[in-house]
Amino acid sequence: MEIHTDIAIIGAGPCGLFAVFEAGLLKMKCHLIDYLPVAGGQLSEIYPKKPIYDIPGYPEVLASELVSNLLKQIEPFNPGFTLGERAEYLLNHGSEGFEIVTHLGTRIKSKVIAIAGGLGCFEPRKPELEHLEDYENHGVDYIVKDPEKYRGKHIAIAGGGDSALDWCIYLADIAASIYLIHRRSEFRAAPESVEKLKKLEQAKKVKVILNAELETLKGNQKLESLVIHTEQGSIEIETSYLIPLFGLSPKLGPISDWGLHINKNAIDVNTLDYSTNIPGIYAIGDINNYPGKLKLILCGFHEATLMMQSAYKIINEGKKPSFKYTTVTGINNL
Amino acid sequence: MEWLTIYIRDKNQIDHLIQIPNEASYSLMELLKASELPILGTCGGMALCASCHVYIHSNHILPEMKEAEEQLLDSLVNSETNSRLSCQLPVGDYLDQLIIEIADL
Ligand SMILES: Cc1cc2nc3c(=O)[nH]c(=O)nc-3n(C[C@H](O)[C@H](O)[C@H](O)COP(=O)(O)OP(=O)(O)OC[C@H]3O[C@@H](n4cnc5c(N)ncnc54)[C@H](O)[C@@H]3O)c2cc1C
Ligand code: FES
Repeated sequence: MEIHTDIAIIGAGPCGLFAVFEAGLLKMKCHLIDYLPVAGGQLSEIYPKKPIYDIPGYPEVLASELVSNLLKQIEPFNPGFTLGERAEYLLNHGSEGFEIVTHLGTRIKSKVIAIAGGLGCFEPRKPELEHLEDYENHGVDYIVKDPEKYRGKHIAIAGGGDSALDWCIYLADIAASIYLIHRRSEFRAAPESVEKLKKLEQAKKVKVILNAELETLKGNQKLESLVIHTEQGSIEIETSYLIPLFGLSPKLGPISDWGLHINKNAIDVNTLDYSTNIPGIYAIGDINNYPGKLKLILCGFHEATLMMQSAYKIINEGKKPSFKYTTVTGINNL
Repeated sequence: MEWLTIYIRDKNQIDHLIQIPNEASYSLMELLKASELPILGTCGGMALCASCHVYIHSNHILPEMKEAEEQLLDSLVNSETNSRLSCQLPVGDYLDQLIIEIADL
């Protein structure tokens, strides 16, 4: 798939989302790319249910609520989203602009790139298993992008946290059978989920295997079965899919090979407009670095605002944006 | 005691001595991070990110785990019976001579 836009934004965390708004005010179109299947970055992945107290105008706001509000705020500008994909390669076509290629092959062409990658791409924590890479996308999935993919299929989920249980419960009505494999003797996830899981187990919709470690993956080209080490010895179960859910951790990843000046996992920028050493590429939010940098949402919003003024000139051949208050123009008249 | 001695065990089983100030207002994670060790402390110490996961290799008696720490460690692929989140260990005399290994992320 090939997408054309004015500004490609890597990272749909709060700063990437707010950047869409600021671009929209200047009539520039944006397309967001994130490896997470949902928008919100750290707020969605690490602390959706925690209150934040330092967003101006909100004495208190839940992280998940701030994300929904940001999504609502940018809705009028109709941004594109490529979620569940990692921005992997950068091609610089000079005056023609840039092209980002994701790990699944989606191409996004734009004049300007805003890197709002936060602490890095949220990558799954992977179990240590031989030949694991060979089965990735051939039976081993680390994120559930489209639950329908598992309809009528035999699947195994590994993990004992909230997301392992939540997906197990969700997929119980979709998959033909589910094994839930956990390393410990009990679940410490949310009590409601543990309760639901017990019911599903009684109804024989889910088979729970405790005190068990994944041992070997088997299959010809794609996953066919799984050997698990349990207290009673090794057992083999037939399954077409294994979904290991051991949480995600952020890694700078491919961006570090794009020729940007990187210092301690952050991209050096000019605080005039948050531009990087590559003209046309900006870095905003937690991923950038400058003297006095604070990793705060509020600071990222400011950076997004200034960067868009500068990006406007690139997209509009040197023209300066005219400065207008939203109270004067509104949003829908833009 | 003004300073605490902590040993950081590397992958080759070699212990490296560091000294951290004995300041009760900090967690072990914060002082390990301040010592430029590869501890991210992404969530600021809320037992939400596991980027401060360490293995304890000495026989120290540590404060009991709270629910949030147990839950998070349980959900990890590389947690062991000697795993702790260093953000959940307040700094104090009891940590002196502790031997830890920093877990992979
Ligand atoms: C527990 C906790 C509490 C916090 N509390 C506060 C608070 O009270 N106030 C405050 O202001 N801040 C707080 N913060 C910090 C705040 O969350 C960050 O400053 C903010 O999330 C930064 O936003 P961002 O958009 O720059 O990046 P992030 O939120 O990190 O989002 C970046 C996104 O980019 C994606 N990405 C990166 N690289 C790629 C790639 N190559 N391809 C595809 N996607 C990619 C990532 O998957 C991620 O979703 C807190 C953080 C934590 C963890
Ligand atoms: S710093 Fe996040 S869990 Fe300890």
